[in-house]
Amino acid sequence: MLSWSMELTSFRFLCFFALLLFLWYFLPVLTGGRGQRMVLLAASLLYYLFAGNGLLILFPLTSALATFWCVRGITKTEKTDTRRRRGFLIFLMVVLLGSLVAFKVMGYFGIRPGGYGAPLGLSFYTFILLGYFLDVYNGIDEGGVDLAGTVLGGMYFPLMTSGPIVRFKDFAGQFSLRHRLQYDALVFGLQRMLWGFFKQLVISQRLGKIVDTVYAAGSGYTGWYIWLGTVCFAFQLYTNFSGCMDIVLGLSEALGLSLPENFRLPFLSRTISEYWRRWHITLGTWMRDMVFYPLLRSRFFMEQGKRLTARFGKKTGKKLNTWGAMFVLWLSVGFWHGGALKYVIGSGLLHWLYIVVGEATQPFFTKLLSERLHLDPKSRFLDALRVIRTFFLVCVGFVFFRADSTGHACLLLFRALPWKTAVPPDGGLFAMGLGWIEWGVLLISLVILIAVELINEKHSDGGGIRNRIAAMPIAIRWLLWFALLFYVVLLGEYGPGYSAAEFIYRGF
Amino acid sequence: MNRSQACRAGIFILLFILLTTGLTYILRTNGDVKDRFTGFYSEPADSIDVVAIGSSPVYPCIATPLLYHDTGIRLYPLSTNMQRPVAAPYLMREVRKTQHPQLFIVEIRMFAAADEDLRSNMAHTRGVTDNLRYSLNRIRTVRAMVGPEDDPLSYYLDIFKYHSNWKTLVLVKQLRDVFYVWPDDLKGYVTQDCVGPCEPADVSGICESEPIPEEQEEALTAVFRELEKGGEKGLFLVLPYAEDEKSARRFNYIRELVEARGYDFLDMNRVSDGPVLDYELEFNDYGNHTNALGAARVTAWLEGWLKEHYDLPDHRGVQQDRGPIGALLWGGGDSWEKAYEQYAAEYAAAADTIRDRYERQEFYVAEEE
Amino acid sequence: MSREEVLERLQPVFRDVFDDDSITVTAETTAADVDGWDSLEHINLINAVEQAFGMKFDMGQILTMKNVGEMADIILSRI
Repeated sequence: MLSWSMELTSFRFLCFFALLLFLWYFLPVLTGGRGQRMVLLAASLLYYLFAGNGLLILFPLTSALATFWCVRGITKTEKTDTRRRRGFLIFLMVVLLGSLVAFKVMGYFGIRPGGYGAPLGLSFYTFILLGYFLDVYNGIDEGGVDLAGTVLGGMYFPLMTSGPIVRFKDFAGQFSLRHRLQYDALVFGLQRMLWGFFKQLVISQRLGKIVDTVYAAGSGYTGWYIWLGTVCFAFQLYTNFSGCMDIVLGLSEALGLSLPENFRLPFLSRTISEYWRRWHITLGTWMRDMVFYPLLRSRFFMEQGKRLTARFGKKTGKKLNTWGAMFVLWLSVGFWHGGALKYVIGSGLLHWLYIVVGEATQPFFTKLLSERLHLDPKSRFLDALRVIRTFFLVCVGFVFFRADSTGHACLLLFRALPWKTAVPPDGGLFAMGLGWIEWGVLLISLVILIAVELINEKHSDGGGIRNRIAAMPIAIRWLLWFALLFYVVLLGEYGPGYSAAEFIYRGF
Repeated sequence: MNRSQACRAGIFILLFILLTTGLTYILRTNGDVKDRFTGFYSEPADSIDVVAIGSSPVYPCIATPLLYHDTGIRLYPLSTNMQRPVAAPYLMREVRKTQHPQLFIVEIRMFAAADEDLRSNMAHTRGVTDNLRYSLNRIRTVRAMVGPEDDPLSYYLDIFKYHSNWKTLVLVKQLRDVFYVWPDDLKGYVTQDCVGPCEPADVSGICESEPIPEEQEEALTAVFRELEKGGEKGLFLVLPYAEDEKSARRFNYIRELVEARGYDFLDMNRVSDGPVLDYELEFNDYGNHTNALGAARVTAWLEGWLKEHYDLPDHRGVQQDRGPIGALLWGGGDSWEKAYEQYAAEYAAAADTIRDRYERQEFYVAEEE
Repeated sequence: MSREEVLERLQPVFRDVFDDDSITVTAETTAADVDGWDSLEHINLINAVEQAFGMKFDMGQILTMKNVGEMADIILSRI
């Protein structure tokens, strides 16, 4: 079985992408505009075969086939024939979710049949395909995508690493159009890819060293060192994941394809609910539309709602009912991240707890702020505090996410309690994996990251920072891009002597 | 995409390639090997009479400035530590791009070793590949020397390895190598001033021959082919060291092949009236390489041998033309004679250091890898 | 039933769900006009409307309706 490293930041991948770019734009010239999407389909299948997965390609292919068949079946069925519709729904859910759950559970127990792990992109293509079917079932999408289009939509290779979780409605339709080479889109896409490389190779990899030191089993760090390690992990995960998204969205943009954003300055969120509208946006949207809303409208929860309202009154009853549905929602979100308890807690139930406690205590705090302290709830100062509070809460979740197990996480949190004096095992700050020069590089890079992302957000209506730069004179533009390019070439952690770039979300 | 955009894109890419090339040259780890090669590239065209390739004995043993001062012969070494013989023909081709020496000296100690052993440390390969300027020949050299399991990408694009040297960008010594052209003060020679006494090896009685490993014989054949193509004379040389019996037998084997082709063979450990070395004082590291004192003696003897066997020109007193830029950067005059002046100064200092160390019994200590 | 009547019958439902007796709904009312009408309350509202009118919305309709006027039209087409 051939297995080449096809990491998105590898040289081999870049060559693959260059070839794809050429064929994608050149082939339609030869064929008169037909069959362009076949280039992408072939590339996706080849990528899947060579990215180390070999025979496992049968899983996504089967899933895509089953989805296509069920969608076709649904569109041919009368809306009133609920039994038949239900039949398709249950069948597809078993096929798609069945393999997802099976692999998650096997992953948790370390079972690897035949030496294979889970199929590449399992969590992502499952949700994409299931989402397609559910949109058709719910009448939002009309279906009608042919088999090749369904396979391509579910297996478009950049999505297989870390998403985003696209909706067929907006995504699959793009493949039936002919994409001509647009210079601006190509250049903007490449620029975005470079930015992703910067986040991944310069920042994420460096932060990883600190995080690995603090979170190593038996490392013995206490107090604020654990918080330092966790904050570093927050940024490591962010730059890792959003950097991957930059590369994915950038290369798609260069191909003329538009994908949804997955991140929007998540650490500036003021509440946990807002956080999930800014972090892994497509997962949040998917979960809300496919899990949460159907739950709330299900007979079970509507019945419960009535019972709780009767018992506790309208407001409280409704709240309790919603919290119940949320519990199932967050359990699912946590489980999606991994079968282990630490994921279920750290990326799931803990956030449920935050939201529930937040809503339950809201009247108390509103009263406290306005009546006792006479502060304007909408003031910038309070917003700043909310941002810090939310970031702190999110970091606690990250402790669970990054630790080896729930037990390890609890141990770390206990050790990190404020009254424990911080005792670095030996060497202090500069013995954690980065010397002072490297820390300097890291801090400068983080400053660049934050500055650019803030500027980009400020100009988001005008096309973002890339448009701003494009409007500058050529000498300055080129200076900036060469500066970034060589910043990555020199300071990126790649090449012999560095461990291969790892996309943390790739295992999902 | 219109013409102007295509042009801009093309220029951007070209600029990127040029900048990356220059950056690679700057970032390559500094040391005597880098200096030797940048020095070679800086020599004016067709100015070198003899090029010596091979492994580590060459540059501490043959005092090239001294050789010039005494005979006017310009000899330049392109040798590297544990140079793998497979690289030899490629180096010869690289030389011919700017020089047309009459004679190639091939130091053959590594021909007696198995290539597998030489590959154990990537530095032995990189000594050659990461000191060549980017060219088709370099691509061929890498292809010949590096297999798929060795991460060839970091050889073809050695910036993958050397980018971690980014902190050295502030050093002038690195920055000046941006074109990989900068003269070496001592014309490739390195003054060694340690002392490590040894016993002279007596291998003059060894007459049997033992075949060398297959891949080395192939390399040797390739060298013969190169010599034939270029029409140069070839001297296959063993410099003074504590030669062991197995090597002696293998050198005998090589001698047969060399002489059958009509080239010259010289084992300085076994030639009659060879250089008489002081084995106490004149070896740097217990018989492996000579130090400055030994080098002077070896060179003095070698001069005679070369004059006797070859008709090499005497360039003393001839002004070299370095071109306007070269003259601006490095001055005019006879750079070889200037090299001798520096050599003489270093020699005097080294001689004192060596004798001093010998008296204090402060012998050579190998560096930890 | 006419559209006007539907809107009239919707008003108490809105006031009930959002616990605000001052709410008035017109055909142009959107989520931006009502305090607390976020995506979560939207579902609760839909549930309550379905109860009040004895009909069911499509998932697609729930997510795509733009204002109360559209909601009323869908209700009319269902009853």
